Amino acid sequence: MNPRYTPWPAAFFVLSAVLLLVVPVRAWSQIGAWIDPGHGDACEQRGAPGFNGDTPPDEKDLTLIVAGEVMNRLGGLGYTSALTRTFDHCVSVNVRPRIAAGLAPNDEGLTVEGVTFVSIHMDGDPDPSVRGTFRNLPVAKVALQNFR
Amino acid sequence: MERLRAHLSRLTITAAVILFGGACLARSGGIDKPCGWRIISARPAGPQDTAFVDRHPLLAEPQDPRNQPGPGSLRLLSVTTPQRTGAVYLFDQRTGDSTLIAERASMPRFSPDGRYIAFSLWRSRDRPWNLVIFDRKRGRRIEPALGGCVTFDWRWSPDGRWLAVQDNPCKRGKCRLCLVSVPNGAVRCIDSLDVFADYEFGWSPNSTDLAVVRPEQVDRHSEEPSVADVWIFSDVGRRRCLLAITPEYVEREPMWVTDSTLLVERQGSKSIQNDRVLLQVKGGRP
Repeated sequence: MNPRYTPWPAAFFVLSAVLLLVVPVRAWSQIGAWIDPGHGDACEQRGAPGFNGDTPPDEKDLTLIVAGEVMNRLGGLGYTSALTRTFDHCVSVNVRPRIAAGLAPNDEGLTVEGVTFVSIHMDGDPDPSVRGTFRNLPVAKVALQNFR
Repeated sequence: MERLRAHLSRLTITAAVILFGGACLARSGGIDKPCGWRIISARPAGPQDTAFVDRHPLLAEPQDPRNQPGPGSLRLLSVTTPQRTGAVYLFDQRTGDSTLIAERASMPRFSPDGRYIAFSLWRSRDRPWNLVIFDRKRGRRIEPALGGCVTFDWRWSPDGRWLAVQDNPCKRGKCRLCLVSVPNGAVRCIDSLDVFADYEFGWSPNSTDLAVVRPEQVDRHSEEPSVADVWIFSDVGRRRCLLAITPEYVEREPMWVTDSTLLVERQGSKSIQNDRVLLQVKGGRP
């Protein structure tokens, strides 16, 4: 049973994102940014539960909405970007950086290197008094290898 | 007579309790051994301790995943097409010939003898990552009966007869560790996880044992394993043995140096530093 989390967005809502540096891309072999909606579906990956506890929306649902909006706005500014997952399904944490590096396709078959990788998360805490941001540094070797 | 009846009753209850407890333990995986493997000694690994796969030209992680060395003058090229999809080509440096292996393909790896190429094939939105093995000699594809969300960290056994893969659920289900028999493509799943996480595994040089880091718990935020232990699966996964329970560490990347020495990276929790150790292990039938 998951603890009941702080209501969103009333008390604790964090959007953790990396500084987006979109630079000119090289022809078709690159895109400006891969936007990664954190978590996904019910494979233990829903992230922080929403204000309804076990009822959607959860973090995975919100990250997908925000990621789509980020992609649309970047498109409006003339930058190319794509989503590592375009709908609600399970994506391993080791697969995501490979998609961003153009080594593996996303769920739509897009296989292209991104200049920037932005992973979107909205964390929560069972304690409503907790404030702050969460920094997630890559420790997996695969992530380091693919971004060198 | 009364005493005998009471005695029989106690015996029956005791037997029932033992049987029920045994069944529960066996179901939970608690006594699915005896286990033939144990750690003889451990020491910090040095630069001289090179994993077996890193000494093998086709099993080592390629410097450039887009341009991998193969047998002789062959290379495996992963390219992005103008449609922004992937394609895998076999390129002969000597003759300059290139052959398309598959469109919408990625993450190719040669088998140790160079005869087979394992790669990931995109089929549909619901089945984006499918394992396919291409037999260069016969020019045919082998398509194991796995789900459409196989992660790309497959490992060829050094004898080229098996491919260890992780079969993930695309929507619902469990992450499974499976062995694919080559060339018939038969799948034998040897373990599953209660969490959504990635196994890490490596074959012994003699191709009989698979060292496996098995995640038990996952950090909710980072989605990285917070508890993981080292197991050894032998006899094509028929026997499995928990080698080490180390709550202070999360083990990663088990790689055999010889058939009895194992390199393991350990990520320490909180104040404990990460390190890399060489384990001298002894195994065999219990």
